[in-house]
Amino acid sequence: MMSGFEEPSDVNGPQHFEEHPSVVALLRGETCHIARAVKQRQVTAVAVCQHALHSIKRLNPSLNAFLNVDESRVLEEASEVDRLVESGLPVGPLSGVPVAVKDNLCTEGQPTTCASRILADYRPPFDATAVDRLRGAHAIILGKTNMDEFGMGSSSEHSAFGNVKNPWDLERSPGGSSGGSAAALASGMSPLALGSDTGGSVRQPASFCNLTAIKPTYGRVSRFGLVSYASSMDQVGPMARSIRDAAALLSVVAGRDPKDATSAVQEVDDYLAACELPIDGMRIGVVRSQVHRAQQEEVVQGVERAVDALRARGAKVVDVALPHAHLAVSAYYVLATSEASSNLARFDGMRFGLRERRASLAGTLQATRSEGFGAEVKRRILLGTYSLSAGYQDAYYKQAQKVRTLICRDYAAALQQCEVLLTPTTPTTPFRLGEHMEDPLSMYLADIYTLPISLAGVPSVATPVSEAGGLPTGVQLTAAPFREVEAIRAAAALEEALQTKGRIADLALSI
Amino acid sequence: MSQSSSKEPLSVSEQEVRSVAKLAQLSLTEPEVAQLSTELGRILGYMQELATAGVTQVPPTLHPVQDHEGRRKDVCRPSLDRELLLREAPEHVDGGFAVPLVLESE
Repeated sequence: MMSGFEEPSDVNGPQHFEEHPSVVALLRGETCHIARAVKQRQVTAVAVCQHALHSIKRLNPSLNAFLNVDESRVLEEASEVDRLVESGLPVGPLSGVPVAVKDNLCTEGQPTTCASRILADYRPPFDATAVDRLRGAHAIILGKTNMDEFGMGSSSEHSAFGNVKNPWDLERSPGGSSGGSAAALASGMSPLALGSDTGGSVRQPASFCNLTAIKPTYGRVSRFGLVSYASSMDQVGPMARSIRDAAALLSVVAGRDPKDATSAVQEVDDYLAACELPIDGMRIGVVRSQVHRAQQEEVVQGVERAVDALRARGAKVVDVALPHAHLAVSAYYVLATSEASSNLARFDGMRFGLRERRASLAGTLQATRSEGFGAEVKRRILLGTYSLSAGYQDAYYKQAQKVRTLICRDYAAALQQCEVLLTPTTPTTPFRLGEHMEDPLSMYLADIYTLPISLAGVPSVATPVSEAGGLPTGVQLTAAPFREVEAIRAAAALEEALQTKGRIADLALSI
Repeated sequence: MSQSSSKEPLSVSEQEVRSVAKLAQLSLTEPEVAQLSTELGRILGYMQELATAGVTQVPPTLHPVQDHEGRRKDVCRPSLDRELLLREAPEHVDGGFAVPLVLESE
């Protein structure tokens, strides 16, 4: 049943291994240097991956960031890249770069559990398009990362396979739902990661772990092979320790995909070039009403630090309003749960995944779903079913769809007055593990800044603004649809001004 | 700081929880029913703020960004291999998914 999870023997347990300081340094730096070193045969992809696997063995038992690592497949794929390089054949932009992949992105033949019991033994017969494109760029899929079950949560505590710890403070949550990808990056286990973002699931963990993440415009990255939660908001998002790494990863996964009818036709922009553009005269819109709602002084100070840094670099700071954004928590939790209740109907124990066999069809269905889903997933399915049910649909589902229109209009109007909106990412620094577990509503309210952006479908970059030594906090830079370049440009300026690139929690390294 | 207590919970009866669970094909234990009746009541109570938005003339949004090709041409493409798909089936028989009896006599 749960083979490979109760005792993830291929992930844990130290082994003798001689580390080379130059490869360790390479893995802690920017990924363009890894790819270049592999291409120029200064290091082998196998050596890079062996070092990454070694750090996973050392650190993962304390962090629980990875659910599954197939060591022999990693090394096999790395040696294939080395063979290509040796033969002088062209290799992709991420040649030999290990990438941690959230466990709701399908990987052919390798477990894809969504951190759910119902998919504990599922091995997809295909790759997600984002994963396929990573392989096409000669990146190495390092392993599958832990998360809130089906992406439903903001702390990575709603995992059927144990919670994830924040490398910056092991008593705190790394955020969620892409908490495993965030912890893998912040601890130095992986130089690059993919997450997914429905209501903030790459941005909030980035903020909690001093990382950069991009939630692309809805439709910018194919959703094919991303296990659906709320299909009108789900997006695959790159996570990294620098804006350039995140931009490089977005360049690889973005673009039209015939397998996803909702993927956008627009040309993909040059995201790496955007990192080099100055921000002179760029208009940055600050949403003061959101800043005032922050619950901690550190968050407000982080926003002010960002405002000052951007202004010092020549940006023009203006005040803008999002008059309906405060309704986003209610609108999102109606719409996302409604979509989830429909999407998760596919888990019926008939074609794949867990089956709890009973005498009747109805009995089998109910037993499978009740045994297979965790408490938060059941709560959301019930909330969504309630919102969609006869008698309540007008007051909840339809009303929330109309409020969504108001929120979309807010963003369209605000983004006429500026190129980029600046808001906090989270109302607090990372909360403690268990802090919100007894009160689901309080966990939902912690998503207050990420949700309106998800409802509007606009692109947003989350980037760190905390001072070294303090608890992590970040800001979101949000642009008009398909104007990722503007948000990336502002994030690159901010990263340089505040020196937030390449932060690794050395606390974790001393475990 | 608890914002969540600032709004009145809605009353969601245990009977309502049971009937929604039935629609969602979930079976709940009695303690789960009791807990969910409280939790859903608090969440739905908070969501009453949606009613305060003036939206009578506002159309609904189903998808926020529309930039796709719409319908594709109806062309046959190769599908995944049958063996590969059945590999993940909990039970299969004669090259198909084995399921419990669908039409039951009561």
